[in-house]
Amino acid sequence: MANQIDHDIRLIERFLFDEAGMLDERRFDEWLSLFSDNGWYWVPIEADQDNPFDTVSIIYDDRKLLETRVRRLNNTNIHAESPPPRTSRIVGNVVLHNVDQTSGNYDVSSRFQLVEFRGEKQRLFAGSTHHILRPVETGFVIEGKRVNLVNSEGMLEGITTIL
Amino acid sequence: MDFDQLVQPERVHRRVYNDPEIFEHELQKIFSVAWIYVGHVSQIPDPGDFYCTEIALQPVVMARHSDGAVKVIYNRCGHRGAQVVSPESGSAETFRCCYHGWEYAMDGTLLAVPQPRGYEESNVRPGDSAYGMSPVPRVAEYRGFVFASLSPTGPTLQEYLGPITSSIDDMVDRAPDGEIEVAGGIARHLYHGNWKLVFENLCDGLHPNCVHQSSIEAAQQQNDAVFSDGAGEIGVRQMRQNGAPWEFWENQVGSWAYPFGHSYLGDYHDDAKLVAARNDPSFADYFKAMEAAKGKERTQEILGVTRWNTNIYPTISFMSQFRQLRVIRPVSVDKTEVLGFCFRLKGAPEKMFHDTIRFANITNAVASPVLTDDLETYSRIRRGLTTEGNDWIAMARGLGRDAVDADGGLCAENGLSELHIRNMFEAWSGYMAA
Repeated sequence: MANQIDHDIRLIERFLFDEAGMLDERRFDEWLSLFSDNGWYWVPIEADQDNPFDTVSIIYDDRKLLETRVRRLNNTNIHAESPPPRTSRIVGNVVLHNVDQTSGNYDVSSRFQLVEFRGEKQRLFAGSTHHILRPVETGFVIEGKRVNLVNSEGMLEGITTIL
Repeated sequence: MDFDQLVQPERVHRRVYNDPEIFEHELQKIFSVAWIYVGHVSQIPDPGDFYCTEIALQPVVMARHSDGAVKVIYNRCGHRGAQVVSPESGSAETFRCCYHGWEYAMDGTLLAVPQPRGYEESNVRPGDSAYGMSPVPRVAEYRGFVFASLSPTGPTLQEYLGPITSSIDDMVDRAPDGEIEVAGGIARHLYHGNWKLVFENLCDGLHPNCVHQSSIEAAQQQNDAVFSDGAGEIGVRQMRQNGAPWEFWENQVGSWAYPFGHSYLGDYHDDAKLVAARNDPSFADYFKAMEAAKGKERTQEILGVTRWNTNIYPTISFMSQFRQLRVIRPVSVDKTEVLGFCFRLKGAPEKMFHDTIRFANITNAVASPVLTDDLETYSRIRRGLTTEGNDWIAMARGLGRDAVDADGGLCAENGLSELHIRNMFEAWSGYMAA
């Protein structure tokens, strides 16, 4: 049993590291393909926000909006990314909390630190990420991804980087 | 300083956007004089409720007093000067200073001084106004929107708002129960640029096609058949609308301007075309609730108003269709905070409020695919204006083509006019000359 969990954690870690690489290397289409057809990506404003429908969020994208967001990042006329930011992120403290008995989905949390550099400015983002992952033959599919920024309630400047 | 030299009929001097000395004068002559939006009464429904904000960089508290009245007081202890109330909002029996424990009522009255022995020979005692949390000189509200002025004299709030009250009416009248309430949290952001830029941009019909090109194209290319739980429906529709053809902005959109720098962009938004609403069962429920409360004719009249952003100079910009309000707070000459609030229409289906949240995520969130390009533009204006090659910024579009409207304001030739900018600078010159 312990071996199975260790094995799963390894697979999950590998998946999260690959995801981080896609974002740092700006392989956005590949990143988008990790999501299921009705997957969502959510960065709440309030630390204890329990849903994205009753309270504003930094980002709440359903599949349709996520596709549009990614397509914009690939558009050459995106002023906010001209020049584009460079990022480097470390993902760690990966914990598998639960495997849902019905859906088989993995409930996973991790922590991240992300350095972003653009133009004349360097910023540090940090927080926790919660993934809902569906195991498939090739690895995992993201059913949902929630990112809690430590300073989500603060006065932030524009963010185009995907967290 | 001769501020007159800085504003010409069709252009303004760059110092107005980047000179710290002028910013200091603006704090004194504009933000310490004008009626500044403080908050909405629904943020403090019960006695003891409070909300902290600032006026002219000074912390103030809006609070509901025990008698039910809305009070606005300076957030400063009467004893040693510490800021007394520290969470942004909440509810309290009294305000108690962290330093020596002086306690105040919601109207700033000093209630108690711990260890009062030693004050016998002084004037310090509960109730003495010199040792209270001072009230700001003037507070007034219009249909739940609370404004304060740090100047004891000047036009009344009603005089100051003038015909622009019709935009506040438009916000409130859309509620079947006749009331709106702040809900859904606050979307904040900060940009590196002068505070005027956001007002100029919000009624600028010329910018979307250029500034928002990336999100417009991304939305135009979006496959509509892809799954959406509602977020993408609202978001993609709004991004596409930013890409409306020039003829639309020229022939269908208008811009109106009024005294004290207020203005709105009109005839832009149309429920039938833009909001999921009209094709949505929840809109039918809303329509029914409106007709039941206000009658058929009045409902048509209310929903027939198609205003987009209204600017109440120099603090708020709001729009009724998706019930959004932005509060603009200058930090320094080249740094500005914006706080986005959402309103719920009392008596309307909750689905409409969810659309309000979805819309706020697209227009006011700091990672919005739309807003981020506006913020980049402000930042580039800040950089560009440091150059000495040209001291002047144009606001010439539509000059000489305005008509006087029935309320005594000006109606621009079309929605591409820079009338609203010229109008704000007319108000600016008036404040600065005083």
